[in-house]
Amino acid sequence: MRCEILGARLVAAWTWNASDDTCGICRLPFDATCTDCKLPGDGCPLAIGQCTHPFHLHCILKWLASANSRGQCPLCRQEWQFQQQAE
Amino acid sequence: MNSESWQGWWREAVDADALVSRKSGAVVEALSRVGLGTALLAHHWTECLRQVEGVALGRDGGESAMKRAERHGRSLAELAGEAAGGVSVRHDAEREWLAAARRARDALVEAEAAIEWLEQRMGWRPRGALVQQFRVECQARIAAGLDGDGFRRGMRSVFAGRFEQLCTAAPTTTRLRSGEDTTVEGDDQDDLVRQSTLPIRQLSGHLQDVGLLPHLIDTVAACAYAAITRHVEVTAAGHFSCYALPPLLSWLERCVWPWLEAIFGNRSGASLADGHSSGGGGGEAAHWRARFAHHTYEALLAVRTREMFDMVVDFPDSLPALRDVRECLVHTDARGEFAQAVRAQFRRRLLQPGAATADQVLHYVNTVKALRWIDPYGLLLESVSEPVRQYWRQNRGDALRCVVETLTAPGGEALFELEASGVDATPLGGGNAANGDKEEEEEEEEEEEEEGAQAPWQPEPLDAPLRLHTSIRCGGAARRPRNADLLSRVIHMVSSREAFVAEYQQCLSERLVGRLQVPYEEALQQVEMLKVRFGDVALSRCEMMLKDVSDSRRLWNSARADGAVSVPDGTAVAPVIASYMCWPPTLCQSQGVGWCPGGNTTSSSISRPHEAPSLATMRTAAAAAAAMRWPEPLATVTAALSAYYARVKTPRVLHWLPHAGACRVRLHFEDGRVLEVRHVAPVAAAVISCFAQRSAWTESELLDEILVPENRQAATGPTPTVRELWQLQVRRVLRFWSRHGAIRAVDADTYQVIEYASPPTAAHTAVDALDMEEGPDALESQVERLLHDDDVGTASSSSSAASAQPEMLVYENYVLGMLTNFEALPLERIHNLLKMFCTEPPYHQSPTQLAALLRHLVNRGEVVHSHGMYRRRQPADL
Amino acid sequence: MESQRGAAAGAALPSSRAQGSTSGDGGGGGGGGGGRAEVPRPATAKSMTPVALRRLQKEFSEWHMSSRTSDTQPLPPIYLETPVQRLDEWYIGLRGADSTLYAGEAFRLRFRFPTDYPIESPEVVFVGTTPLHEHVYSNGHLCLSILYDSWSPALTVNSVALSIQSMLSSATEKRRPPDNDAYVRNCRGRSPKQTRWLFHDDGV
Repeated sequence: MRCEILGARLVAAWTWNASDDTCGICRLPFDATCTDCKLPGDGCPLAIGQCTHPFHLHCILKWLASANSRGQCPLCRQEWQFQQQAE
Repeated sequence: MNSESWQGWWREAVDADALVSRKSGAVVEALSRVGLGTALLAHHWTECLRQVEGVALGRDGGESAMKRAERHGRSLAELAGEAAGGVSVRHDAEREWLAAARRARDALVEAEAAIEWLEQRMGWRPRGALVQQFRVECQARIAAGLDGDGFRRGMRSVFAGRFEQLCTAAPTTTRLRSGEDTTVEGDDQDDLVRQSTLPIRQLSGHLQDVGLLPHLIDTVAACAYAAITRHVEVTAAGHFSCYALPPLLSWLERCVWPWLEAIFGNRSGASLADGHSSGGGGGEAAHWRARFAHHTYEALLAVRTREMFDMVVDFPDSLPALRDVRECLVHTDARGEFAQAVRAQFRRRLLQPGAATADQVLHYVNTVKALRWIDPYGLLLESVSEPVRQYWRQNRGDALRCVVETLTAPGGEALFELEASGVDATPLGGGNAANGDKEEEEEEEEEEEEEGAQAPWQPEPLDAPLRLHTSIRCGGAARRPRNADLLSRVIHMVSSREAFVAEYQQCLSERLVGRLQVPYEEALQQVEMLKVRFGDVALSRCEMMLKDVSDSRRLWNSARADGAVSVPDGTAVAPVIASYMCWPPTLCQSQGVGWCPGGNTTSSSISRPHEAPSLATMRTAAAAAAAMRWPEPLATVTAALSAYYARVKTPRVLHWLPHAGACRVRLHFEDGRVLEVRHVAPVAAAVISCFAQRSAWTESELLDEILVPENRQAATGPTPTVRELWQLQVRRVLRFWSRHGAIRAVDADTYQVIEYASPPTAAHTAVDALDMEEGPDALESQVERLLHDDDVGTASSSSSAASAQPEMLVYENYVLGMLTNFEALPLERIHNLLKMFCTEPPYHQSPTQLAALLRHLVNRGEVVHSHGMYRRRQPADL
Repeated sequence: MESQRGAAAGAALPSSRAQGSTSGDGGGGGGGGGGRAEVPRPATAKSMTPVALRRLQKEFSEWHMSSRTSDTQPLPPIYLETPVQRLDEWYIGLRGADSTLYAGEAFRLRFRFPTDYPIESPEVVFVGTTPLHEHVYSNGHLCLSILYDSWSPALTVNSVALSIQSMLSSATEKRRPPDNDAYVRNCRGRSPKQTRWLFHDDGV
């Protein structure tokens, strides 16, 4: 028997490849959005620090903008530096 | 005038003038010829004469007058009996009536003349009183001499006969009444009518003269009612495409009014139609016309009510008939009865086990449209809907699914009037609802202001709302009433708006990933329309799903342009990359098998009930996260696209879903058979491609083959284990392929390719594994259905698909014809219908055998099986 | 405020010590002007940001889920008092861990959440009986850096309560802070968040 696959509608789900699956600030899954966004994925990207801790970009920006943060990662209190993303 | 004072007058006159003694003999003779009425006068006369001239003469005159009166009375009574009995000699009877009435009238005229003469001779001025008294006495005697019932029966047949004559003679067009419209034709028509009403006019004139007409009012009315009822029946019954009311009213105008006018003519006192039939002058005439018009409305409403169910079926072709109903309801007070009748029809013809839910939904939608058209305030609809709603909620669990499917089917948007504007959007779940509501209110106010300019606002009456809408306007001119949102109403009937949106999302997901061709544009449009009704928030997930589809298309195109992915020629591949949080959980998994997000989870395992139901469900389901080894060329494509995606969307990665999506697979066997299957899940394609490499496999070997190594290790864990779940899945797939004759079980665990089919079957078989409407896990249901068939069948029925067919094929045409006529039928009904109608040869087969035949027809693509119903495949399905 | 924080964080004093002064701005509370004795009311749920609301709902549902499984068990050492009357004011029951100075004692913590929680820290005080501890003032205020300058949005009500419990557990003797009387007299009725705290680096 010979089997030909003539066509296919393939379905994939995407996930963020991060060390956690929930944002430590808003506690919502990365695969969904932060509280302010509607579009997951490109619409609400992930920010990963050099400490490897991931957050919703919008969440970490909000935290860093607050005086309380002193520029530190909420999880490890190291100075927050965005990890350079390899494009 | 009493006789004493009359005598007093008389005596005075006699005393004054001796002439009377000479003329008295002639007067008595004249009066005695007149008839019964003269007896009284003669009596008075005799009394007077006796005083003046002596006794003998007067007594003789009185006696002879009495005799004549009795004779006339007898002849009238006899004629009445004759007319009543003699149906065949109706016109002769009528002629005699005419003659008798004429004679009676002539006698009266003569008597009146005699009285007049007397008065003139004697210079007696107040004659009116005397004549009147004479006439009354006379008429009373005539009436007393009649056989009342027989007379009325006879007259009724005379009137009815004349009426029919008039109807045939009357012009077919509406007679124009207003002055400026009166044309030559109009005059001709008037003449024609006058001519055809002449005999009846004469007869009733005489009857009036002898005072019998007032006794006939009820007879005439009954005659008219019967004629109207009959005419309405003939005009309206079964004709849904005609607006029957105007022709009926014009018919009243043309035939009934002239007829009534001819009968009751110009006479006052007993007239039905006073003077000119067009004039509303006489209160009594108006009263009678109103009564007959009312009867017309009632009769028409009765006919239409009786046929309401069929009118709904024919909607919108039956709009003219519905217009009749609306008008009639305005003019009668029968809304309650009407609603009750419609409810009864629903119970009898719709809410019964034999009716398919989809048909019920369709019928209800039409009912809403029809009743809304009849009664814009929706009170009728309300009372008709409640039993349907209860029935659906209790008996039809698939009603919501049917609504969604009807909506997404071709033409569904028009059916539910989705494109209609100006509906009340009530966003689900608050959110940004405030703004929307405000705008809506403003629009509503504007609308009401416009409305207010035309007519003063009136409160909505509770029971008689239709009176406000007496002027009928078709189409969009009339303001849309508040409850116009058809879809919301139907949803309310079957479930909640939330449940609908969830079901819709499920259905949309199936449509978006379950086929090779995605109806993206249609779906996008529909979601936009639904947003108007349910608010952006409720449909945000659906929107995201659509966005995923379009983003995927763009990404796929750029990946191919980039050269990152290449697809072999002749293979049509298109991916959908899903933001799984926005899709229904069934996308990623079915029956515990599939892909489980959060494999890299390190955080707490506390579920998040409010935020991500899909995630929570998947985690609690002892889910089996297992990557499948994809068959070529899909393996290359998926791997390449994963790599491309990981590169352009860092740090995002893809997880391919083995249960979602659809593959089109063609199998070539050694004996030249070709089996083409569309819309199988990738897992089924993966399994069958293993058989292309090696002709025999055990389940266990297959599992090892199609699962990537790390998942094979995941045999430990909660029960059932990943592997066990996959095993069930693979077993279903194997059954699916063996059902289609690709493989067969050689022992308990081993399957082998059927390279050479025996007996040889069709060289080329095309199978649409999934019904188009079914989705990613339709393979499951398909397989389960097949398994179920096995279960209900006998032990030997596993081969029944092949063996039962030859003798069943005879019925193929019956079945196809049946499905052409009935649209969709469940197995049981097909079975029963065959038993009833198949005589050549008689049908004695079992439902299982019938199921095999139907399956065969499904496989051949002639019949579609969906939700337990079989129907002919429409061109739209392909 | 910035400078105050900076100064406080930079200082390393041998023991926690309350400065009498209070800042004019009550941080998250939004009330509490200088000199007013009234406790600044926490923002009502209405004025909370969506972020704060959803985050609190989430935390609440996590508590709820965990407490549901323990219906048949004795109360856990840390539990949320239900029903929660206001979303922005929670009460947490706390019991001293076994084999510590506070074994068998039970305390109540009150959490009040600012509008932009979790970017802003919650106001946390003991209500009712206050434990005798060198970082706990008799009016219920706590001298705990994670509640003030070292707050992180990654902290939750649960983790804060755990920290407080472990602070109690690590005590070696039961005593009030040395400046207790002066502090309590001075900041009567004010939120501890209005206090400028100076922490010593003992790892609390």
